[in-house]
Amino acid sequence: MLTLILSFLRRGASLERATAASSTTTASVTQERADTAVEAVLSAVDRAMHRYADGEVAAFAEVHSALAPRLRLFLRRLGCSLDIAEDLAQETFLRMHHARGSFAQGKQVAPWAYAIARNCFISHARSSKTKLSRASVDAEQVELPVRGSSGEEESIARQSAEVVQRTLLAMTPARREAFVLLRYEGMSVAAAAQIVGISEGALKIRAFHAYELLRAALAGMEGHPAPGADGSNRLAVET
Amino acid sequence: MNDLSFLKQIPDPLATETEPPSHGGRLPPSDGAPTRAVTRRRRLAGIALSLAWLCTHLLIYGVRQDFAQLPRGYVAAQVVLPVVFGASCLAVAIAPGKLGLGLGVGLVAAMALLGPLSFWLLALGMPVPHAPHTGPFSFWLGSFLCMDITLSWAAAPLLLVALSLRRAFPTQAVSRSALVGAAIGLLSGGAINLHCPNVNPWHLLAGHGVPVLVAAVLGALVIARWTRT
Repeated sequence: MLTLILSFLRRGASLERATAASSTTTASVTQERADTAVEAVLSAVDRAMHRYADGEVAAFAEVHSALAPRLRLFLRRLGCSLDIAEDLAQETFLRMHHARGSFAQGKQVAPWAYAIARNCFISHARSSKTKLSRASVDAEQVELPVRGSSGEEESIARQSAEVVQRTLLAMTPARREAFVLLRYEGMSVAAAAQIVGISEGALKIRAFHAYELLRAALAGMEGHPAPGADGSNRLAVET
Repeated sequence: MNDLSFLKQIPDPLATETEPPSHGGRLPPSDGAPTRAVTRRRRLAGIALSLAWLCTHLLIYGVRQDFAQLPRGYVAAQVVLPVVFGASCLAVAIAPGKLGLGLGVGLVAAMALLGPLSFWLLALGMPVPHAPHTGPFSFWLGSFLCMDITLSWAAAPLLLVALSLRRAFPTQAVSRSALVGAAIGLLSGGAINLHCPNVNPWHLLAGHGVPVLVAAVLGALVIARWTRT
């Protein structure tokens, strides 16, 4: 959505520039307004990354504090243990540092950082010859945090969280990352497809297959209604 | 499947995971990673040096003697079109796109395939402007010689562009690097078409067209290792 707004603003700005060519004052005011609007669309972390890419070393702290938790959680969701997620997040920041000169002007940092984090994850999986489908975490031993008001609710939440985690780790990495980006990381389809490097249609299909697997796994839980069966049920740990 | 809100039915097992204590924003190593201005300068220098390399070789080896007699359509198809398409390929490969992750995967892949293919189709499809003369070499030797020259013309620009695009592609590194290779191949192919007077379509295909494909493959297999972030 932000990207759409950005491109809309830019198109608007260029259109305004073209029509107001006769009046220099009007054009400059319009341009100034458009620039301000684009600046407003970029978040603080985006602006910090731009400053860092331009050579302001101190801006790195701001980028790190804003992105590190998100990237760690993203890597955890891809199947990394806590320690490996921490290591790969650091590796991601190192790569971002080396590639800062390639960070495109006026763009958001999150998709770029996620793409680099994904590359780090793939490099790690290849180098350690870890099978991604049985990634470096054992689903049976994971202590999953759950919230619930009653004992029964908490039990169902824990059980469903375990089923989801186990199913996610058992499915193909391609499906997992598509689902994680869309469902848990809140990416738009366009952004997620760009991060993975596939078409939007292919990404939707992968996410849908992952969803079907997860739905079937949750439906198989004893005494647990399948999500989406009546369109109204919501699971206990839904965010 | 446009509305993906149904995905929210699946719970998030890590939704309430507490964050480990933050180490704060550690300063990156002071190894002088290039800033955006330095990167921009390097890229411009890489492109300028590559063009200078091709132009210098053209000046040394000379433009083909039958150039003045060639029909305009033939010159446009064999020289202008490859050069324009090569420049477009380079522009598409390094374009940041909406998200700063490059243009769409379909467009990049299609252009990486169409680059060498268009060169081959034009080589075979254009009417021959005059009777091909064999020259001092046999078909295969002549083709091998031209292939050699075209590849050597493409080699330096490939290296320069690879160095200037180091760590530039966080996504689609293989297809974007293949497109960069195809772009360099097309520019070299256009340059050799401007130098070599052989109008035999099969010579154009083997001697001038194969290096375009080789450059694209080199881009995908070798340059991608440098350009991946």
